[in-house]
Amino acid sequence: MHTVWKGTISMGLVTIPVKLYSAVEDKTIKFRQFHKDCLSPISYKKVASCDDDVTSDEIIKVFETPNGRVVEITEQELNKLKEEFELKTVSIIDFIKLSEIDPIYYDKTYYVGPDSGGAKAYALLSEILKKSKKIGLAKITIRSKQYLSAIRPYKNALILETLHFPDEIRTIETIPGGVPEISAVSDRELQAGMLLVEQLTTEFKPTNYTDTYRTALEQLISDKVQKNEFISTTTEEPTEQKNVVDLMSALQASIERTKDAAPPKKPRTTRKKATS
Amino acid sequence: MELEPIYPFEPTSSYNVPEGEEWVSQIKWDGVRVLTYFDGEVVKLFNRKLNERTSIFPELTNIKSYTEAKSFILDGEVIALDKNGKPSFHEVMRRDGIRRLDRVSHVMKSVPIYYMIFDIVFFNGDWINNEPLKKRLEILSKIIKQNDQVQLVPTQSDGKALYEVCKQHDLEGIVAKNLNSQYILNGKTPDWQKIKNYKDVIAVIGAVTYRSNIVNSILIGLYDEQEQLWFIGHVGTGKLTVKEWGDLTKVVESIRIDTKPFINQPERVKEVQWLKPLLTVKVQFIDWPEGHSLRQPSIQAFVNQDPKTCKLKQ
Repeated sequence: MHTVWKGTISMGLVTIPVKLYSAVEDKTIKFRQFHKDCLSPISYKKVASCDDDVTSDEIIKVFETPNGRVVEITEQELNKLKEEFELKTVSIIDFIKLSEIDPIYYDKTYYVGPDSGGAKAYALLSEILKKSKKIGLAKITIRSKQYLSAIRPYKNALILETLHFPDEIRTIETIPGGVPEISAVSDRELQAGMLLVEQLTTEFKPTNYTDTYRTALEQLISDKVQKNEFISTTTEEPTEQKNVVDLMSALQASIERTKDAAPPKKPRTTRKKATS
Repeated sequence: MELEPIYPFEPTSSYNVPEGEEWVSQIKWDGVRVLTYFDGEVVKLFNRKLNERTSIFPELTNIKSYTEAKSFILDGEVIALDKNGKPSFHEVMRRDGIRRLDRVSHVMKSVPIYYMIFDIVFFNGDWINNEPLKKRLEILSKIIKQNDQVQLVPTQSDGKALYEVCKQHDLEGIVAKNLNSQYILNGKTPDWQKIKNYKDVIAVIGAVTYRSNIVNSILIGLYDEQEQLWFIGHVGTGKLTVKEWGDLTKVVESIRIDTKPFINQPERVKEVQWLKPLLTVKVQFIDWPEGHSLRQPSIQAFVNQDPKTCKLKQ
């Protein structure tokens, strides 16, 4: 797995060298875009009113204020901030109960893996969290964005969940039309509903649920592939199959020839190779 | 998996083919070193840096297609062929470099790979790394049934003839091995000696030049013991496709810097864009005369290696 982040987790006097790996995989099927007539891939071109092929060295970053005025922010300024606020050490500041965090705060899930020399401290932290039934809260910078994060045990491993900051969560007052009052519900309806919930209550088995849309799309694609419904494109490489068995026999033949051609070897002469 | 992945045995570099009855030679296949671990239940693949490769080369997990052994650790090289049927590091990196696992099944079709097995260190429940190479090769030839995808690397008693063949076919070189030698875990001794036909180096990109806004050449360097980056060559040709130059152009955008990362002055290069020394690349060359830059360097492929490990003394 690809390392997303490398650094240390610290708790009191213990420091654990770790690496983070994404715990989830996006399985969305990606399409490419091709031109209908010439079947070549569509690419993006950056344009400005003075230039229809802007190169990256001609581009600056600006921030636009609500009244349409702009200030430039340079790469140097951004880098300086990044350096200043980049946290290579994740310090656990608080321990809390996992249930105290409302799921609305969850952002991304990473597996924490011990880096060289970190195995023992890693096992210790994981055991402490398991026994105390607590999770650690810490701040972390991943790809120049700061996050609040929760470090929790999962099976024998540690997991780091990045969390949203409270000011990133919209309030329920922003729901268009507002939320209805509780008094609009009658007792009878409530009781009927509760009964229904009781009857349908079951254990959560994630494997019971699949992405049926994706499965159907995969089926559609594989049907076309099976039926050889390919369209010929300009980017397609020739699929001339060369075989390793052919190569091996060609080499064997060469060796036989070289041996036959060489005169009987004089013993103990070491010739230095020109290419060596 | 019951078996812990191991650091494989590595050859030392040599310029002469060792002579004597106890030496055999094998072709040095230009690919990625992959060991196959089978503990009797689970098959896993790891490279020589102990990174797992099982899902990158899933077609090699079908071990029943080439052996009935109950458990083993096999050592070999995963290779891919170019259009002319020659082993190509560039091609195999198109597989090994995959970062998104959902791309594997797609690239599997366009870049078929082959497994060239040359050693066995664990067999039917026992570590046999301390057995002499001769014995290990005997075991290998007994238990491996070669097929279109999995091959045993043949041994030749005449190393010089094999080296000549490498030159004729423009292959990477040969590895001479002592038949009495043990397989030392994480070892590197002259019991295995590589004699290379062409030379290559993994170096760090420190600058690029542009033509029509697309990167068209790279300036590469290596670190000395004081972690200073020395310019060693200017490379414009190689195996990169137009698309790869385009991709490189995009990647480079985010790592531009204003100051020269090299400690020395690259020769006769105007209008270069300095870069943070983060990208690593494998470059082949004909010669590297002392105090000069690489002769006739050509780019093989981008590799994912810690730049700091690209040392002058390799």
